[in-house]
Amino acid sequence: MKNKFTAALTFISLAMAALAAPSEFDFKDPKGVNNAVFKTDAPLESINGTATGISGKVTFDPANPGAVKGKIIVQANSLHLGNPMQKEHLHSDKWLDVAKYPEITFEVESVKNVKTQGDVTTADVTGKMSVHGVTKTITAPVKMTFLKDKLKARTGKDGDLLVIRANFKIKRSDFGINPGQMEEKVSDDIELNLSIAGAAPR
Amino acid sequence: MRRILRICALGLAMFSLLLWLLLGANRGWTKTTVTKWQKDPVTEIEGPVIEKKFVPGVDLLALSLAGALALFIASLFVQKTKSNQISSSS
Repeated sequence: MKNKFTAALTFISLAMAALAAPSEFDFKDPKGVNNAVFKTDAPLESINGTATGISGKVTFDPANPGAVKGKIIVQANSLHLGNPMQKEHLHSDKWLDVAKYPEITFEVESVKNVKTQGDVTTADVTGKMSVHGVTKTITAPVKMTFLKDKLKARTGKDGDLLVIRANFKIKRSDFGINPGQMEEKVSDDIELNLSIAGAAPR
Repeated sequence: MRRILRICALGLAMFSLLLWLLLGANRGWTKTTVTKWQKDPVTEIEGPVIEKKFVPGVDLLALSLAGALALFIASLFVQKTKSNQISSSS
């Protein structure tokens, strides 16, 4: 009797652990919807662009959203502007030098001010951001929406989705991108809006 | 010749202005692609869809209007045609 009880307890514990285990969400989106928008607003010019080459993995536990970990990667050559000359300049060695620094990354280090309401968690996420070969620690307000069992509606596979949204600013001078140069056309402050969804199939 | 240059100047100015207005009156730089936004029904993320489309900007409009102005200025330095001179003297 005691053995049966112990076995049952072990099984329940394992099942609970499996259910509560954090899931790994893959942010390489087959639909190409994941995107980052970048904006600069200088006295002479306002420039808006998009980036879609997004990948990375994030570990998220809906029972403990504050324990989120992971890394998001943006392919620098996926940064797009409508004007081909501006795009060429942006990718060139005078600005982002995408040939030398092909990735823009953000790696989570710590999470603070975690607030969860239903499936939505907001938090201040601190991590290491690398742009143009320079790595800086930054903190960004992030909104994470856990969509349980919604992967099937999107791709036909069983699993969950995690939607991450973040709006924050960085200074291009902090990352050694033409510091103090051409600020009348490209502002030092760059506004970034990240909207990405990751999938955790079961 | 003077008249032809002035007609060309007016035509170029009108054509470039109309083309700029008809293709969206873009007050930025000339674009060769436009970004449209499409909402994913499940994640509700608006994703960019980049389409190839030529949208003239104020740079191209300014260039065309400068060309028209150059034609007009050139017309000021061109003498009236002989036929005009004959008809005016007779």
